[in-house]
Amino acid sequence: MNAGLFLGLSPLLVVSLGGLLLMVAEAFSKRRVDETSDDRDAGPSSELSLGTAVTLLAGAVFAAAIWFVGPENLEGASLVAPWVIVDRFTLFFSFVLCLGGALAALLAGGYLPEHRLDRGEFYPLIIFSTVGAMILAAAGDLLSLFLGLETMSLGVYAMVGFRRASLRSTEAAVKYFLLGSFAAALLLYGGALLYGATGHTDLAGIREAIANAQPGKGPNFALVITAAVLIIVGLAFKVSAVPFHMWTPDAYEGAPTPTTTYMAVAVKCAAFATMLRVLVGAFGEGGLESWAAGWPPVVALLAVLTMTVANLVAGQQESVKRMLAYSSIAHAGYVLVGVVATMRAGGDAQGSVMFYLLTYTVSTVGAFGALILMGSRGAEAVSYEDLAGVGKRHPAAGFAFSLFLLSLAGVPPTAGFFGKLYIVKASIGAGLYPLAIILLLNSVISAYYYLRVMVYMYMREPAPGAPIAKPMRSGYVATALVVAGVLVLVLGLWPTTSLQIAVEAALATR
Amino acid sequence: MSPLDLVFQYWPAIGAGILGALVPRGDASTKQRAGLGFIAALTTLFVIWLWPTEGAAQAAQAPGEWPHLLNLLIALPIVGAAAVLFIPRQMLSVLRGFTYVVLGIGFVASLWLLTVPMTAGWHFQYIKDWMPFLGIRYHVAIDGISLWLVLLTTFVTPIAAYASFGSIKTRIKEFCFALLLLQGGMIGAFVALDLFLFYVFWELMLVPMFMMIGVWGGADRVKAAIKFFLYTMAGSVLMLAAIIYLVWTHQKLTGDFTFDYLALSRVVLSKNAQLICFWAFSLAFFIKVPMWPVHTWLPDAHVQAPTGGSVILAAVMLKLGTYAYMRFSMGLFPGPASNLSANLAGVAILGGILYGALVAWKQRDVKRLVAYSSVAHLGFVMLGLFSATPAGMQGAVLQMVNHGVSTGALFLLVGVIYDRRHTREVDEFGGLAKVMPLYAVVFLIVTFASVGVPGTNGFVGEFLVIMGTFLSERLGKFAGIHTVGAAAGVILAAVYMLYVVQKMFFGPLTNPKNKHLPDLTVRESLALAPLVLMIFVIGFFPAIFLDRMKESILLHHNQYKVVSGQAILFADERDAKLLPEDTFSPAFLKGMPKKEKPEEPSAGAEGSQAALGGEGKVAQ
Amino acid sequence: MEALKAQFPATNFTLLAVVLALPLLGAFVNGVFGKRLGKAGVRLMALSALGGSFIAALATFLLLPKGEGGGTLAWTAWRWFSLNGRMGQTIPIDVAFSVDAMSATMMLVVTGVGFLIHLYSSEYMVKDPGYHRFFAYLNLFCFAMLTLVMADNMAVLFVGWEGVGLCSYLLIGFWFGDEKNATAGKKAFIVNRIGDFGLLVAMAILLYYTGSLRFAEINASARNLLDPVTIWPFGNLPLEAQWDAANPNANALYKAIVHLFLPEKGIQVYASTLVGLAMFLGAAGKSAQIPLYVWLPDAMAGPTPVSALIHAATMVTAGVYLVARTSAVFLMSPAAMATVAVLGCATAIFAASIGLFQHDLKKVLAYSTVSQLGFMFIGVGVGAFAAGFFHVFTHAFFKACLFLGAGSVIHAMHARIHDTDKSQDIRNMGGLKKFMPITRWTFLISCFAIAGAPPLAGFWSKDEILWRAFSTKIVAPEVGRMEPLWTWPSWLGQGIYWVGVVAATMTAFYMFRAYFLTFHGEFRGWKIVAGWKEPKHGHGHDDHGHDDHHDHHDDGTPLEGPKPHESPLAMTLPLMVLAVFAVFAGFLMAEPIHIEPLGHILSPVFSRAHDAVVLRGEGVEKLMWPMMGPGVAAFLAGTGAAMVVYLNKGGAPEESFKKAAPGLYKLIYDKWRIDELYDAVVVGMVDALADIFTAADKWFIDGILAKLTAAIVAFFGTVLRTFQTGRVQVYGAAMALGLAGVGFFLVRPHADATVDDSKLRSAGEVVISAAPGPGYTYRWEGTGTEQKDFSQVREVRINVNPGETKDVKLHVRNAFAQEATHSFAITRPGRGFPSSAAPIPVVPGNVVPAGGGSIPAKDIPGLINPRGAQ
Repeated sequence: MNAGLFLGLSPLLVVSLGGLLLMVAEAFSKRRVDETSDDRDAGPSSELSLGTAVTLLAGAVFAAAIWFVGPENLEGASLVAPWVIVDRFTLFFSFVLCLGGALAALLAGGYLPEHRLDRGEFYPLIIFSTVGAMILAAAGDLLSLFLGLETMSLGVYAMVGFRRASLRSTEAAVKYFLLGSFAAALLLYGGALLYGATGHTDLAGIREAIANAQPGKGPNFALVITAAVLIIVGLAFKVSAVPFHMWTPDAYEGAPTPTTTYMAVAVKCAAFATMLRVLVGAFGEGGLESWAAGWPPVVALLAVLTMTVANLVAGQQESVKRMLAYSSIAHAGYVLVGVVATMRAGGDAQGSVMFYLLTYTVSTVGAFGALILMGSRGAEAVSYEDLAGVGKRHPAAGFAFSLFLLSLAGVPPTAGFFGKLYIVKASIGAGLYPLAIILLLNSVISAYYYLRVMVYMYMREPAPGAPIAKPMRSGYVATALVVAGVLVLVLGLWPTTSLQIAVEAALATR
Repeated sequence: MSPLDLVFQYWPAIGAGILGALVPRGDASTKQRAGLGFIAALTTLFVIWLWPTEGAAQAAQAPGEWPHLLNLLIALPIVGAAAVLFIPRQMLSVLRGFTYVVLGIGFVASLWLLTVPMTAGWHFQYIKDWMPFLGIRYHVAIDGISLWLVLLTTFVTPIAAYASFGSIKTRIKEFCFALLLLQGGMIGAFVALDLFLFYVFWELMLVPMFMMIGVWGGADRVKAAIKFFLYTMAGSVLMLAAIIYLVWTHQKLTGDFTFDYLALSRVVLSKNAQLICFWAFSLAFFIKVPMWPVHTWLPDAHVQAPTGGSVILAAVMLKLGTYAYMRFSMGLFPGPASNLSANLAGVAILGGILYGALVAWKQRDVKRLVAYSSVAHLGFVMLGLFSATPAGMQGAVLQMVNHGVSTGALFLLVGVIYDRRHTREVDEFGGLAKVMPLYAVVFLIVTFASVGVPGTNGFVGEFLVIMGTFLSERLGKFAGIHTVGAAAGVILAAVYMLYVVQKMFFGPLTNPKNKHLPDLTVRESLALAPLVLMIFVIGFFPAIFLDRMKESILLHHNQYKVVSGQAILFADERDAKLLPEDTFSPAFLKGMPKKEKPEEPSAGAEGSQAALGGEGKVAQ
Repeated sequence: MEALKAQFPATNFTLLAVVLALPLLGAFVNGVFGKRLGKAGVRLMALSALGGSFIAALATFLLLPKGEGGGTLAWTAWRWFSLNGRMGQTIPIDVAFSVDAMSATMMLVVTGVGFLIHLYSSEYMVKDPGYHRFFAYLNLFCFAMLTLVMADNMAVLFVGWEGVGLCSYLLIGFWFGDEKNATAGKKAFIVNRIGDFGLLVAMAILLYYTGSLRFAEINASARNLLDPVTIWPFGNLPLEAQWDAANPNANALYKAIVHLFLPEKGIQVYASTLVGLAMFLGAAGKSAQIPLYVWLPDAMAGPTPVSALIHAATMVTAGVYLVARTSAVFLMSPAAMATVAVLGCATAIFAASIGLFQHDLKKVLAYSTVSQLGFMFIGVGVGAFAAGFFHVFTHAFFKACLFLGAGSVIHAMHARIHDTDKSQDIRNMGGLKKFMPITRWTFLISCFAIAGAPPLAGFWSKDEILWRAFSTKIVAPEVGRMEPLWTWPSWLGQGIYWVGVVAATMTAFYMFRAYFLTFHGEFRGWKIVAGWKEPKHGHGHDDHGHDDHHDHHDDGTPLEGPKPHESPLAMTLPLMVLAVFAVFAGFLMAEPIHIEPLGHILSPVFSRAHDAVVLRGEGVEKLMWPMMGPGVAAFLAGTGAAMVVYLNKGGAPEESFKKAAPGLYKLIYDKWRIDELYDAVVVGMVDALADIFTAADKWFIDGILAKLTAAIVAFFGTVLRTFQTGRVQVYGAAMALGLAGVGFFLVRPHADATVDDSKLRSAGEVVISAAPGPGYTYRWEGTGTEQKDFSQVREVRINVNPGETKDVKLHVRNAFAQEATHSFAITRPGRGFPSSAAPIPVVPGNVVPAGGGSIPAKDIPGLINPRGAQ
């Protein structure tokens, strides 16, 4: 073992270690939940939230540090390959995942005490779930991939059902767990078939076996195709592509909002990382990448369905939280367009996917965070009506929410706009004109429901007699919003550096 | 120069100032007298200053172009908007004052643009790399065309702000923010020469306008605001796709990514792509103009918007559509623009000038009527552009300014009566000339400007457009019938405008609610005075405007003529081509991004491919 | 005089600025400061402005260069704007004025008659609260009218043209409190705008063909207008034969319908005819000719001095002035000239017929004006421009005098009758000669003048016009060896002459009818009571148009009042001056007795007429004296009939005619119901169109684009939302369905291929590459090298001979042993045949020819700055 290996794994290690420490700290902490207390600083959140955020950010910092050192310069890091691959791709996703996790933890720091859910175990769950997500993003082998997936998912299942007293929350957790297990089983079965056909569990080996197939010798393509079907479906479930999305609105709505944020951000990013690794990496040759008969047309169809269905249904929602859930499905559809384009336009398109995930992360965290900020104890803001007049009563919160919504809608000069632009650029460069047009028209439909939030905030007064929630006060949430807001503007106005990084990271897998 | 010399040199301005101060009758306040005198003197100074002198002498004295002037014009309101966020909302006078100061500085600074003789080509050009990765640059410049639109913006927005603060009493802070952001976006869109930058500004304007309509608008404001936003966005996303396609094509031809308008002008797309991209661009612009049949957002938006919002919407934002059509659709896709011009001109006449006028006539809400009249007026502008003659295009640009001035004034006037009666139904009024004589006089003047009576601004623009239409070769065999149709619009303009004048001002004063309406207040008359003065200035001295745009128009026209010919001749079924640089005037290409590697001669689509590029063709 | 000439050189004749500026100043001062100045101040300002302007105009007239070729005085104020013509040349449009004999004469009429009417109004309007407003408008009108007559080019003329229309609008609606007046003003403006539309089109055509809008240049290059233009079918519409050739298999009914619209051969006219007709539309609008005369009678709603100045003496003659001014253009087109003459003739007799039975004194005069304008158009239409213009000149005096006389009468009637209609009704007048002697005599003199009693002014001018119509014809200008497109029929002039004589008879009749009914017989207005005093509730003159009319006849007791009074001196003085002119002005151009100073100075202006206007036949000139006979007879007949009917029999024959033919009488009294016809047809159609458009805009366009789209999005959203039931079984089923779908696609074989035929035409080589697939094997058929088995060969190369077609079939088999096929047919076009696939570049005529795909750099400056642009 050598220093290079440790350094290469340092993001993972730092986050894991931090999680363990925090767990111990939580166990020995005197702060216990007191359901009767109105003191929002009494619970464990007040010390754990920041710690979690710092831990995750430390992971992000380490990832960034390795980037500057150059993962190819790390001797020994290849020892753990292909189970854990330390390349720029991994680092990029580690960074995004840690960032998303940290911001979600900060949101939790405000949300949990406010809504009397202040139990310390939430934070280790976030951390370990993030560890799983990082492993997922780094996995170059079907085994570690599955390991990461389950580590991540188990944590999230628990976090969804975190509001034990609430039937909705529990129901959401059960649904998510049932369907998630189904999907995991499909994925696992697909992996097994793939191993049977090619004799490899590592993605590079699988790719090679498929690419070098000769008549009479080499993998049984019937098995490979069956495996591909199962794996595609399993991944589509994780990114919640239509028609595998139906759990998403229920789970997102039932879960506590920080969990929702985390799911929308980190789980989705990790799933996309895997998708890129598997589809582009393992299935990138040997006819599986064919536009006529391979996975790209399937994913393209999924992308069109995902965008369109999610946007159409999102317009009909009465709950902002549910609307944001559908919006996150729609965004998955946009990203899928980028994934398809990757087969044609190469690293540039993959870079667009990764950059989009970054912009999507900050915008989504911001949007959910603003929604959290607008609710208070006993009066969580979920429906449009709850937001009526907020812009007048709480201009700063309204302004922040508007900014993130505009970013999600893709209005310049926000990050969301540039992300979308880059995906469109990639797909047009790949000749996927219909996909690009559908994407853009969908973003017009989506503008309608994002604007509707602004309409309620600025142009409606609350119905007479309706309870008026006063927004919570939380430094954590405010911090998360400021960070996300600054990132939204910076990524929108000066995207060059981050975009270059994303493309460089994407090229690392080629 | 002694003070006496100053008096001699500027006696018209001094005289005008004194006259302006004398104009209000006995009971007028000193403030009003001073204000009107000041406006009169300023306008006269403006005219003296603009007066065409000997070209050579002027060029010799021309000061250098300060490259940051346009940056200042864009940044000032945007930074100002950001600063407004930090001013406490209770300090209303500070907010208002700050807004005035920012807009005022912007106006004064924009006058500086006039010091430079507008020779063909770009002026006040400023270029800075923004996203070199994609060849996106911050590239701003003006020519004789955008000059007047920038000035129109800086001229009208302060007036709209001044008038708005009279009637808008709630959420002043948000209003200031939206107004300043809007101003920055509009100026930016007029001066941007990088398609990405243009698109950013183009979309940036949407949100403040959306807020303006939605927050301070009338009863049905939310629907109107959303309609406005979605219509515009639907058009512009398609434009975005076309921009990116164009950029890719350019990249395939040269190996360089660039969003630069100048560089992309050289690309001749394959035949179908040309047509599709032309429509993608033009649809976005036609929606904004708005041209029939995508105009229906306009009446709703106008009726619901607050007075200031309507003024800005009508005076400036609609011009973005016409300007962008002229600059980008005609500049980038001259082939389809040229081939389709006769048909499009038919749409502009039937759908805009005639249909708009007839529908306007049937409106019972004054504001709606004025909104439909905008459809008709902008039909003239578009006709001038489609005719693609120097006269027609000059007329079109002048008509853009004219429409900004006179329709802006009309919206202000409608706002005046709405503030008093909270209704705009024509039937509610009648005989107002008796109780509000000054209001009636101003309304009549603006009406006649809108109708295009000679001596007012409307005439010169319409005249040039009609003449240009008949002279047009692009319209071919249809030039004659188009001219007749356009000239017939002149009749209908009188029909609907005089209808509303008669209904509102003449006849017996029947409605008792109107018996004691106060006449124009000081604030209202001061807001209207510059617009009314400009109506006559443009009407009598259009040369000071036309002369400064002439060279740019000729350049644009000739380039359009040459490049459209080439685009039609050399458009291929499959491949895009790159026109050689010497097809264009060097003045036009000034500031085009430099190539990093030598250009491959007559490179086709299968030419060099970038490292990041994929295959060129879609699978069959 | 010489000093003045030195002071004002002919090319920079700044005195014109004085002529223009004074009325404008008056308008501004009275308009803005009028209320503060008081009535005396306003009167002083208005009168001095017009007076000063008159003196300057007189000086201009005297300074006008005399001599053979005539001459002009010009003053350019500033460059208004410029535009680029057809050839790219710069066409300057200046704010420039130039004066020749015709415009100088008009200036004198405008300022002179204008001054008299100002003077008259200063008394007539003295009780009106809008006094200052009235004089501001009136001064503004004079300014606009002067601009019109002094204009050097059509654009400036158009400024004046619309300016007078605007002032007319404002003055007709001067008492805007009455809906009727405002409506009349609006009608006048809109009908005038229809004419202006014609003028705009005319300007466009002129600019295209002559490259200028300056009258001097238009007239000089008028021959350019002899360019045949196909007016039907326009645009891309084909001729019948062309259409038949293009649609050989069209069904007979369809064909018949299409043939209705498509002509056998194109209809061609000279461009000059188009210009002439368009310009005449403008002239007809302003000068109230058929079909646009309808506004003028309604315009009498304005104050009477306005009717005198604008709607009788000056503005309405602008159309005649325009035709005379652009005579060179009209002379290029016999057809346009004929149109002008025939429509003028029709208007003359038509309006005269309406005038026969009107009861409103001002309406009688209004229709008389329309009729007289018709005479003027006959004059210019038959090429007698000087005569037509001369009638403008004489008519200005006697018609102004008549209107002012009528105003004087109305002024008197207003003492007790405040209702506008009733105070103007000649049935309420009668016997005024003893109360208002000055008014009566001047009115009578003017009646004689207008009726054509020799040797008064009207006799000379009208007779000259009719004589010219009788004796001359217009010949088409020669264009190479081309046949003229239309020639002037020989009967036209005679026909116009005789119709004109009938119209003149009617004129004499209705004018004297009005005179006798007004000034003779018994006073019918009210019961005259000596020493009558105004009761307390009385009203002053300022009640014009107010909505609180009291009808004094309400209570049934006969109205009582003092003797009608003669008007004050400020009103009678203009009457007398005008009457003097009505008597003597004719001697300025009395051709039969060879006293024609005016004709002499006008002749250079119309010098071009000599070529086109020729005598109709041999020996016609000898008929000059004899042909005066019918004219004098017309006067005698008309006057005599009126005297018999109204003086001797007290109007009884009119009553019996009314009883004998009530329908016809009513029809004439209702002005042949042309207004109603227009309302039903033109206005009704436009109105219906507007209604349809408005409904379509709301329901169709907005409905489809906004509402329907939104509804569809919402509908699908709602439908899709119903699947979200919350049941985990449904969710699982959806996933299973998705799984099946993905599986179905990937398990099915897909035979797909790309064909690269870029070398097909040159080398006959085509490369077909099958799309790859996981575990796919391929088999090709028809490639030349036959394969029996599936192999991994994905790409085949095929050679095709010219004109040959090859069928290629691709079979694929996937890992599940399922097969699919795809076939291609590849055709190589034969040699020597033009291929439909080859793009044929469409080259519009105006594309700059470019060699090798580009314009060399050295040619660019020439393209950027086209010829003549500098």
